[in-house]
Amino acid sequence: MEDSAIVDLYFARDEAAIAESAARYQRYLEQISYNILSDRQDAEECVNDTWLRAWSCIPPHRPENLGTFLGKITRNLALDRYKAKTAEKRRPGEYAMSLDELAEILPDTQAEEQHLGEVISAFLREQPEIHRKVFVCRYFYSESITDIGKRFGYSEAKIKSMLFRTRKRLKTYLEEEGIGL
Amino acid sequence: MSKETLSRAMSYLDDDIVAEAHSDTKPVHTGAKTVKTLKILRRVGLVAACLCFAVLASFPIYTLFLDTNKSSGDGELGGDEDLQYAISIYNVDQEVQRLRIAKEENPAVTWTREGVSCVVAELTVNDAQAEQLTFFMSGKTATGLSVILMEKSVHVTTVDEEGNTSEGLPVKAGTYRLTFDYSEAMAEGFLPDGVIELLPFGMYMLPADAEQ
Repeated sequence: MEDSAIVDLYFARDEAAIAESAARYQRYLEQISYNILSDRQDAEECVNDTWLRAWSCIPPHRPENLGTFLGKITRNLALDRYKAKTAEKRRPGEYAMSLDELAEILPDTQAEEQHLGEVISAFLREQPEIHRKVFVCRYFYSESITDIGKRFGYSEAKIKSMLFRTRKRLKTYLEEEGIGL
Repeated sequence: MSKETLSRAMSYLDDDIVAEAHSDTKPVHTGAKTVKTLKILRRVGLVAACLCFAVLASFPIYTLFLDTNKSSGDGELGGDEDLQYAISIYNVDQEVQRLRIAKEENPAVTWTREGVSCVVAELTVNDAQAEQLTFFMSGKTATGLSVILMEKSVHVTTVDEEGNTSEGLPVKAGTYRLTFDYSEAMAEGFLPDGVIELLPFGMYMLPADAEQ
């Protein structure tokens, strides 16, 4: 089923939307979450949460690219879960807890992240296609250097070199945009 | 800005950029295949080199030098009193061929043992040596020495730039090219029992009275 038809199912509040989405994107989303969490069970739970989040977002939102839209949801959920898991392992003391409490009064970090995402998008559009793809595979999909090398037919050393140069250019670009790292 | 913020920001990349990265799963570069091919070729090359080395190593290595013993008295040499020079071909540790050059008007050289199929060597002769190398044909324009093996004997001639052949004239200082051509001998059924695969790597010229 085409993406637009699946989105129509969401708008019609037809639960088949979930099944159709899973049939088309389950593996893709599991790979995204697994790359971040390195745990099959956590990855599956993340994807299940993704269906719930998508169900609540569509409507009113109508994504142009359903796969990417779902992928971003999964990625954010995986990052949340990753943060929670590492926090558990650290067994935070009072200092860390007090910092979290202070964070509540900080400016909207989501807006900051969104702006930063837009700036990075603008930067990536100026890069050669292969550099852009490799960068996204590494820092959006969290793919391993080895997998990226296989995907694009380059050696690992070449991929590392490409990423290094792109990061360096991004740093300069962000500084020029007034975004300090 | 924390690295977490930066990582989170990646979730806000434009959809088309995110989708593009996974849009084409075919490798865009075939360098890996090239490298793989080169690795295979390198291995094949190494194996071929080892095989070549093994084959070459199975052949004796010879040294060709000009021996000016007037007469060695060696029975194999035949005790020819007219012998003034001999070209000997040595392998690593023993003499396996001796080319005798008689000081005759029409010198003939005899092999004491069958075995060499072809030798090409550059021979440089200085003035002092030239006086003794009377078998070399020289003349004014002599450029080479041709040795032709017939059955078990070798005829020595030189060929000048104009294609003239001559024998028995005094040699001049200079560089000469020696060719041992066995094709005729082999055509007549003479089959050498050894083959010189490596050209002579050393040639020594001794004065006629070196051992006197």
